[in-house]
Amino acid sequence: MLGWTFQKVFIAIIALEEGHEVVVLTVKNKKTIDLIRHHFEGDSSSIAMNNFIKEKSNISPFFYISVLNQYPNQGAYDGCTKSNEKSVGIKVICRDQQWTQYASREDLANLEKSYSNTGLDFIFSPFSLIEYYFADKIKTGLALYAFGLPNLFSVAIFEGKLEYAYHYTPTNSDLMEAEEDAEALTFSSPVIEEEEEEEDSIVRLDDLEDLDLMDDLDSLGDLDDLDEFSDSSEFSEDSLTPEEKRVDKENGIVLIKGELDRSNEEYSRFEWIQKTLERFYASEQCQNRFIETVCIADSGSGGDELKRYLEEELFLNVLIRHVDVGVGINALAQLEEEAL
Amino acid sequence: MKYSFITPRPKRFISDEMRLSFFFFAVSIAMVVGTYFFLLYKTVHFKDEHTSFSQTIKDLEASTDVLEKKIGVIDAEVKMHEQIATDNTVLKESIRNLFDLVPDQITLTRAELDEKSLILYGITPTKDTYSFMLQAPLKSIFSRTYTSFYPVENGWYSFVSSNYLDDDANTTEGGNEE
Repeated sequence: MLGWTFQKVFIAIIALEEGHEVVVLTVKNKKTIDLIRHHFEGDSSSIAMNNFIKEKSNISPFFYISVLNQYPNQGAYDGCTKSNEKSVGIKVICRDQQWTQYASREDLANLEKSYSNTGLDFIFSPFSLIEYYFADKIKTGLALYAFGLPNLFSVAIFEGKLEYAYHYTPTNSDLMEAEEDAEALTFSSPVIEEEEEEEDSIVRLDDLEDLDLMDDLDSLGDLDDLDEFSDSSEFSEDSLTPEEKRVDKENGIVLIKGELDRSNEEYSRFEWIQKTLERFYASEQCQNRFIETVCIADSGSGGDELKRYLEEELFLNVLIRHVDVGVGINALAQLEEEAL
Repeated sequence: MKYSFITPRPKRFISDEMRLSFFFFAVSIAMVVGTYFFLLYKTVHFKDEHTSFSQTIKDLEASTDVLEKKIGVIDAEVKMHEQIATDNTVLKESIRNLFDLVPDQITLTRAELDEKSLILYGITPTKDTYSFMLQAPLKSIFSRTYTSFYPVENGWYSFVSSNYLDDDANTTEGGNEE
């Protein structure tokens, strides 16, 4: 009733591999007043994060805390049937009476329990974000849409309405498999070869995670950043002291590892898209249709390799949108709040 | 919910502390207002009662006046009654005395007793019997006595004795008429 006189605070919590990102959007009468983002370290919600959220939620009595459901037991399917949702243990949302998002009740309860200190107002599905990010596209032709975070990857095929969907959650075995598969691709990394030669001069490489992966890096090349690093390293070799060289090499290895992880992640995504396409083509929903376009909403800055994989291997037209997940979640929360 | 798997928690305009404060303020105000309306009701009720009592007092005063008047009348009636009773007693006594005066030989046929007069009708064997046995006491009582005799068939006399008591009790006049 008097809600229009108050500011509204939308708080999005995004669980990342290394901590949480909290995006706070303050609006009044649909005008953005403030947008704050803050990163907190730690796997679970920390005291600092809870305090930050409580501090921001004290701005207005109308505050909404939202999270993205990143648990594996979720998905979407064509059609709207709710008859067995309780017996199966899922909760469903029917979208436009055409397609359905679902999630495990147990996972939702766990999610609410995880954030019991601050409480939750909205839990969104990644498929809602796909729908939101590509609202201008999904009503047009048949295309594959994907949304990725470091720890989830959701794929949906839309043609006006949802045709097919699959939700992937990376596991260690997936990553290892991706690494092995990535070897098959003809990439080379001269820098890494050089690092292998100078292995004895590298201090405490054992401290790095997945060190054994470094042995297999000869197939991961064609990384511009790595080339540049290699060049600069060689260029300044004469002028650097042994200690400086060691530090530079360590930094280089970290960089390489980051690139390697991203490369593995992107290859996993490539594989998931490929699997989804194979499943779709094998399913009844296909009806002899052919997907030519792939739209990917990526929260990171990468995606170039994935785009290249898809274009070169699967001959797809690829559109990558770099999105802000926190902003997207808050936008969905705003839509929900307006509908209240 | 269109997008969310859960419904948001209800949002309140005011904090719990403020709600508690407002609650106590509301209770206090309600008590004050309640007291005000109670007193207002009592005042109106008291005024009504006051008016009612005033009217009752007026009615009672009017009743008292009426009753006082009735009491006056009753007092007068009582006095009158007492007077009449006294008079009746006196009359009764007088009648008794009168009948005591009448001798056995004389028979009264009628007596008219008034406040200051006594008229007797009767039969006497002789005039002397009447004169000696009845007229004498009558004369001692009344101021004036008049007697008329009429002879009847058996030789007796019918008589009418009119006796009057004047205001001046000492005056005694008498006369016989035949």
